[in-house]
Amino acid sequence: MTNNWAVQTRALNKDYGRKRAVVDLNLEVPSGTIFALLGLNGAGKSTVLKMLVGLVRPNAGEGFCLGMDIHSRENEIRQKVGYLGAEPRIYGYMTVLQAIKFCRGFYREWDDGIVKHYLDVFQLAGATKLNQLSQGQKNQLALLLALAPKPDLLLLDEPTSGFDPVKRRLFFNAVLKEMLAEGKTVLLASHQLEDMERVADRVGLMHRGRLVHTCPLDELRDREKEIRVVFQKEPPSELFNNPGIVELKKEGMAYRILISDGLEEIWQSCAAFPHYALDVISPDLEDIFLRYTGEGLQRD
Amino acid sequence: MINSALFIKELVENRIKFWIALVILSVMALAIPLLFDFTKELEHMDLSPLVNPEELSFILSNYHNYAWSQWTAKNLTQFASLAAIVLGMGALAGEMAYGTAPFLLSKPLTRRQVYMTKTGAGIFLLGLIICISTLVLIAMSAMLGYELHVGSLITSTVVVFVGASVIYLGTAFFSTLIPDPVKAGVVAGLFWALAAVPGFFQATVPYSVYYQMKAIPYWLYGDFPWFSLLVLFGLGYLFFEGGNYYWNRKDF
Repeated sequence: MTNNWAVQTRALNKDYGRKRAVVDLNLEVPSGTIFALLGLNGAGKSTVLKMLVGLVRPNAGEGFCLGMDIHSRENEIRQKVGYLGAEPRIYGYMTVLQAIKFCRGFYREWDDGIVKHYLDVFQLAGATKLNQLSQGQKNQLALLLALAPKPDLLLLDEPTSGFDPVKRRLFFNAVLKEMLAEGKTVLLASHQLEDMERVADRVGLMHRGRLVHTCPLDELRDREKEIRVVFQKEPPSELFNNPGIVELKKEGMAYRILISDGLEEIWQSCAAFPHYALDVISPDLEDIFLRYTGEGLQRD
Repeated sequence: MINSALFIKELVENRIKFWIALVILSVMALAIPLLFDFTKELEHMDLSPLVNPEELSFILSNYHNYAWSQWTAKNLTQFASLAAIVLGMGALAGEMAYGTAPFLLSKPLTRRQVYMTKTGAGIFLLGLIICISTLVLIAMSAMLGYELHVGSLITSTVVVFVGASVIYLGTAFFSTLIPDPVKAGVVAGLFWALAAVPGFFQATVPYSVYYQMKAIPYWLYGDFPWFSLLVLFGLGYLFFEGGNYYWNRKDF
């Protein structure tokens, strides 16, 4: 375990009865990055975050947060890790200020400036009872409460669920950038691809409890390309024998060729054959996810 | 080990139960000295077979016996047991039923700290209810000029408090297993009702928690109830560790 990783897991497993929620997870989240864990509902993303913060007990494997063992140092981890669960429930009878006061009592470090700042940003009135807040406002308050202890690592599960578009943009443009500027690490679990494409440095694709792929988002985009070509007549089948072609789809004379390696060579082969149109496009995250898992993610 | 922020939250959440229990038990405490003269009249009535005349005569022979029989052995034991179930049934199940457990447990507290603080707050409230209502009895008795052996009454009350704490911890144990306060309360109520059965038979009466709570030999012979306290502490410890074990293993 080195300090280069804010999160590191080795063969981490979690079963709920017969259901395998997380299977042999080997996850490495570099310090100072925004890492997006993407997957369908039930893919195991939330369970991963919960295991890291001690809400769920792993059945097997190792895990480290900020270099601390999740099995033996969960209390210290929670001093330094902010966790925002999906649709968090906070005590409805408390007011916003009472909830803040309640949470302050648990931490060695607490920044009232952050509290004031985000109360203003999210326009949360201190005297409002929590059961009168919308789910989006509850998420905003829970986020504020996760940020106030100045965590070194933020674990956010569907953090913008229920946010209006303005607050969502604010979250990604301001909150996350502030975290990064301070050298902190953010691990996000989400199925909202558009948002993740905008902010993530690295992505991990989860499917049925397994981490099927992980790499920097830019590298994924650079490596994964698609050629769309409309030939004037049927091309010879040898044209598609290149090992860099990972998937081929044909509709009449139109072909979609998904490439992981040898783009230049394949493009020249296609260009050499009579065609009406020939384009190279970068697939979006959804296309990439689809290729790795065989299932599409939903877009909000 | 006790976290003050969580402790205060627990007191606030249970305040309504606390006030209701305190008011009811205090009214019961007030009624005991106020009804002494009226109850004494019963001695001249034939209440057999409902009441053993010798027993009645002994109880009404002096105010202290009467107060002990009505308070420590009856009202306090029964109502404190009920209050312990009502306070304990939501101790852990409430956090699970209302979905607030993940929020709480993501804070830097160990599960044991959470369990200890929550049960500690419940027992503290139970202690306050018992203490204040007993003081009401003592004060009212003094005001009406009745002679009460305050020291032995308080000692008896401490034993009742320990017994009620055991019932609370047992209920908290069920509250850990069953993530619904009402269901946990019903199961705990049934369990503690069954626990009364040994007290119905002469041969098994020492195995009744309620018998141990009343510390009858202490009242009759003045023997300090070491054995009762030892049994109750042991039982309470088992419930505490059992509940804590399951709480620690739960996924949220």
